[in-house]
Amino acid sequence: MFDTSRSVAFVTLVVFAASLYYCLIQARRGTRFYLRRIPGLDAVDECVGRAAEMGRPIHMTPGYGGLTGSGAPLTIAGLEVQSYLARQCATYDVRLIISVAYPEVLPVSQEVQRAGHIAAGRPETYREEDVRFLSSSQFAFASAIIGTIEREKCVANIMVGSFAAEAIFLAENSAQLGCITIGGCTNLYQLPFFIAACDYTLIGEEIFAGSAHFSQDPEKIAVLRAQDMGKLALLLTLFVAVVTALAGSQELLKLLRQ
Amino acid sequence: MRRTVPGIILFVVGFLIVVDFFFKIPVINNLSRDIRNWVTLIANIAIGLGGANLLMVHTRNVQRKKREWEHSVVLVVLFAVTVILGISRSTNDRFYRFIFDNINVPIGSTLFATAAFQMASASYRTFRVRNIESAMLLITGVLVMLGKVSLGEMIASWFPALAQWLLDVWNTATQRGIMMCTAIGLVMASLRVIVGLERSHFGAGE
Amino acid sequence: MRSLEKLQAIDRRILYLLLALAVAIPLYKPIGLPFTVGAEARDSFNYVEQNIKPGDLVLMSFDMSTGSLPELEPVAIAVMAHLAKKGASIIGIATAPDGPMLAWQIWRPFEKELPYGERFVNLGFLAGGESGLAAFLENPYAVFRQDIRGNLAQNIPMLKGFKDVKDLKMMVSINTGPTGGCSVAQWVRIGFTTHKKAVWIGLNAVMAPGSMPYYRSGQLKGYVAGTRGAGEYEMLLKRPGLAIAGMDAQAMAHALIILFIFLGNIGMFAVKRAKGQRGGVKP
Repeated sequence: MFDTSRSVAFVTLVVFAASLYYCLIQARRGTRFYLRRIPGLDAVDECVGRAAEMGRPIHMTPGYGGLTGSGAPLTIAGLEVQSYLARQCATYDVRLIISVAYPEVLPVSQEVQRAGHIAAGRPETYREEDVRFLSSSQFAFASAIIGTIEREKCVANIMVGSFAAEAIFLAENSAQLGCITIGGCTNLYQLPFFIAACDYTLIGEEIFAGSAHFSQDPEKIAVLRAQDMGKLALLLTLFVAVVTALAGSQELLKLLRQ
Repeated sequence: MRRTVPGIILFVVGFLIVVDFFFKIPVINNLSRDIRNWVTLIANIAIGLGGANLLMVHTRNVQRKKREWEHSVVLVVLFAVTVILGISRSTNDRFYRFIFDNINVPIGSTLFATAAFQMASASYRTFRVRNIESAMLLITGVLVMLGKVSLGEMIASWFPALAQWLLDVWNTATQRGIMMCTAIGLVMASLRVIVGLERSHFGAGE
Repeated sequence: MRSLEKLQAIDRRILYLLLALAVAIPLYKPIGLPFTVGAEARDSFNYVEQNIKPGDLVLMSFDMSTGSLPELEPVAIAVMAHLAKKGASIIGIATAPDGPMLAWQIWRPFEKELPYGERFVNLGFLAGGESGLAAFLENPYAVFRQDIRGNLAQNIPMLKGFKDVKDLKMMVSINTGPTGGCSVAQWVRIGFTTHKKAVWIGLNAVMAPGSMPYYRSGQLKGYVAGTRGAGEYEMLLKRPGLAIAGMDAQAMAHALIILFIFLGNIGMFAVKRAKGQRGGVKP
């Protein structure tokens, strides 16, 4: 019944779930875990402030990923940032333009935007046409965004989610148009471009910290703590595997290779 | 209700997919396969939704004569022509393929090619020796750029080997570290969503 | 000294113009810079050379977009030529929406070597990303009842022996990343980890550093990255093509970018020194 070829993955999942459970229990008992400030996420408020002063909109995209496959958590991370941004923009009367690349993300993004306006107590300021599906074609998506930023004179371009080759196109063109650029993705081959071209970059797992960072909710911070515990467990396992391998035993390495 | 029902569906579906991955239970395996087919179905249906949104935004641009509304006219016309051709005559039709081969492909390729120019200007702007980290970035970047083309081989025979060493040792080690941490982050983010700890995408707007 | 200071803020249009010339001139008048074949291209070539036999079924997924065509087309053509030479039959799918159309473009030069229906079939676009791919590998005909031309899939001659993933010898993905299709990581997960099949990837050069860990750990049997990788593969195949032609242009482009980076740094240091001489605060 149980697929033994996946036992290592199963044990890993159980360890992560257990650490998540433990940290949540601790958080509910009143333990406050530390979460460092993340400059890229702090800069979101800076963007809203600047947009409010200048009377110009902000552009944001939850990335070139859909809600299926491994891109889904990245898109959801982008939607978490959009959720906070929508509320802040509605509060300070800043127009927020959202561009999505996949049609299935569109209704979710519209709902997040609408909820942000409701949460800020300004449901009448929500505009459906400010959340747009552009194209599932990579560079059509990117050029449409740059066209939007140029026409609408956006003051900031916030890109958090899954990105591919259009990352450098978006980041560099936005920077040349004078936008504050915040880029966040986990794609290893696009991160260097974001680091080179953006004012602020969220590297790898930092994009999953958005919800916890903005809300400072103890349970959400506990999830990040559980993530760190999982990382520590993995590091220890790797260390033991390397030491045993150097000592002549390949058993642990063979087990981990499953 | 608005958040509870989607949350329950998400939990049940997520749990089934996870169980399917680890256990060979025919009922669950079949159900999981059906769920994957539904995902494909929903993704395809959503294409219509996206098309409708696109048309709505651009026809509104034309109606209100917004800035550069003429581009919206071009988009709407090409959109309509391509959709009608594709549906009525199939994507193998020579007119459809003419549009694809002579408009879509050249424009897409050209825009991708402009990424080289963006990279060049980003490199020029960013690769400055402001501190130790940026100096390391500059030096390794230049070494790899030279080592991966014929120029590196002309400068010295060991250049390509040096560039490859930087990629094999330093780059691979760093990428593996980021990859592992990102994978853990992905697992935790997915667990968070499945068990309902994260619901902002339901439109909660906390 | 003021002229040196200007070096740190050169108009980017000058950079773009010089870059365009640096790429265009070698394409028009090749220089013929030598290059050696790297280990990745050699291993990828050797894997196909030593493992593919006549009659083997190879799944080839065109996970590419129109934008990546100039870079990936040489890779795709090179591997298709190699598979054709080894007598393999190719089942074409695409997890990216543009893939099926681009597959025709890549297959067209091989129409005689790989007759449609006998040694090549284009099943079309596979929606759903990783989920769709998993479903296809378990039960192909539930996902693709027809090929892209409308022929019933199960009646196509070359698919008579194809029931599921076990009948495949190798999976090839010409991959431009997660642009609507399956990424390298997803192919490794589905093809190698789940089904224990050989996975061979042709990818953009920009993806190479990020995908290298998979190749180094043996999860990928083929790893051909960008124009350089395609050029090396063409050399091994003794079939010079687009990639070899582009090598000189790539070298000149790299050289120009490095030159501008150095000029920018000279300008930056000149500005710093000038600030010090004009009575600015010393660091």
